[in-house]
Amino acid sequence: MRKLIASAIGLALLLAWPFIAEKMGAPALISLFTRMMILGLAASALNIALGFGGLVSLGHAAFYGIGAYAIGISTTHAISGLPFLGLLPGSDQLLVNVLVAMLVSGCAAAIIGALALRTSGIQFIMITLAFAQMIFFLFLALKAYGGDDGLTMRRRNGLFDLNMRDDATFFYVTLGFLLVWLAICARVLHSRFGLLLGGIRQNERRMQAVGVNTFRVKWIAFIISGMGAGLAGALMANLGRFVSLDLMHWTTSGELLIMCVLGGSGTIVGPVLGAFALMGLEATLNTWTEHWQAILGPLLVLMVLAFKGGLARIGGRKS
Amino acid sequence: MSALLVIDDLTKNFGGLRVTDHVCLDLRAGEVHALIGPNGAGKTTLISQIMGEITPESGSIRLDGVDMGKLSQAQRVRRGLARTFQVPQVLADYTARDNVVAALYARGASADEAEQHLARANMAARADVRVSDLSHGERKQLELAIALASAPRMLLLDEPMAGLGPVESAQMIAILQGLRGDMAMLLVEHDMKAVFALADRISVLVYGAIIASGAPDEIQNDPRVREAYLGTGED
Ligand SMILES: Nc1ncnc2c1ncn2[C@@H]1O[C@H](COP(=O)(O)OP(=O)(O)O)[C@@H](O)[C@H]1O
Ligand SMILES: [Mg+2]
Repeated sequence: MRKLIASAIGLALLLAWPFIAEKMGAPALISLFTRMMILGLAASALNIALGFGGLVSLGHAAFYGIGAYAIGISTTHAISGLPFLGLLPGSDQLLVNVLVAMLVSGCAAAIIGALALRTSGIQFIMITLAFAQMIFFLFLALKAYGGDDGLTMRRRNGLFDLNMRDDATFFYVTLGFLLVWLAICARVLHSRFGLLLGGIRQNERRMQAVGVNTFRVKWIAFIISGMGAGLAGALMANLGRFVSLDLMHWTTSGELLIMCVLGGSGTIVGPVLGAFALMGLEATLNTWTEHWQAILGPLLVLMVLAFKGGLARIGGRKS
Repeated sequence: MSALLVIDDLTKNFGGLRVTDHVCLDLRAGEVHALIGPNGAGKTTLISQIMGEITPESGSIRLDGVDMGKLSQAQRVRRGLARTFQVPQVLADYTARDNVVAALYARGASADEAEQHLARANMAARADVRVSDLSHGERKQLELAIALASAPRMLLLDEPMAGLGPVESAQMIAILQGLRGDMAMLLVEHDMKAVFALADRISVLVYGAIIASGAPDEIQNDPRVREAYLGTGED
């Protein structure tokens, strides 16, 4: 019940945020919050593998980045009118592009997962990291799509007749995607599949002994997780109308992990709370001192120790 | 009675150690077959090979005439094999019920069946308790309920009495008595009281090899068995 009230207050605050930011005379805060929601979505996607499946992936920046590039490339081709590889026409419609981004990042997750999931523990962490680095360098070398300059999109993708150039509109569009994503997560995790996935996290040997094809369950979870990261990347590309190669940098994977742990891995809203907390701290400390990173590190350690199980579990076991 | 599970000439080495040494074993439908033998004899390894968790070097395992050799664990479960673990392998964050439900979902069954399997293992009253709050004895019973949820024709029990106090042991024996006839069981056990209370037949495994097989009174009086395992006799 308390969780429900907290969620309702949080949602109301988000809904009112563009107005509050305007009133505060700081419209830039609208986009900051949009970024937070997008990274929250990415962290929540990682959490399906990490928190629910026990799969510590240090390669999710790749899926996030692939989603962003998919949308950037599709949009570029739509605007130039030249088909991709001479075959596929681009699109500048958000819904089409979001599907494309999720499909492409889902395929990448399927391939990487099929190989990485043959290992576990430290090996799994290293292999996911290695694949992500490979993809990073692939896009770095891809001069046709900007290389290390990144890829600029001339305008945001369209959605119905909305004025997507307006930051408040894009804020609400992002909020909509976030809510739909979280609803899907909740649905999946309370299904048969979710119960089996949680069982594998706790004791894979047991699940094999009752006849679960644990590889397949983990693989599907990894793919869903990759698709969510791709969705987040697609939104991020639209937000700044720019696909930065940095999205794919391994430090992004690390940040997503921190958000999950901070907010509460294995909870539905935890990673989103973690994203708001981490990015809020970064933004605040940033205005105080240029050595903010030196403060942030120890602060995070303290927070993780203080809120065992994450922010989402304050005042109760589960959210 | 016909043989349900036939193990023929099974051999397995761990490095230089032979843990399964040309083992042949017939387990009949509906029968309780006890497998006894000292620690390290290779009993757990044998169960793991039957389930397909460990691959033998040579020999065959057949269930109802079907060679299990190439089948995955999941396929073997579907054909009617289930096991319990000597050290309980349970899902600590879930309730007892969800542990059973997981096994039901694994074979596409409905969660509604959970109640009946918990009841058969005397765990109905503890269904909604988180596993981390269960006692060792209750976890052993839960192990059994989980295995029952797979609806096995052949249940492989790895030391169900291990670590139980006298009251819990008596309870476990009663539970297993209640299952008798519903399925065949391979009972790996050190507790001789349980073995003689439950077994129709007994095989003795020493250093990976079966040294004797027969009715309980034959085994009890077999001089090789007394020497190798039972020591001076019944306890
Ligand atoms: N995975 C393994 N790798 C190497 N040796 C093992 C492994 N599992 C068991 N063993 C060894 O095999 C022998 C038989 O073990 P086990 O089957 O557990 O015996 P039991 O269940 O009869 O006590 C022991 O010597 C044990 O140390
Ligand atoms: Mg053993």
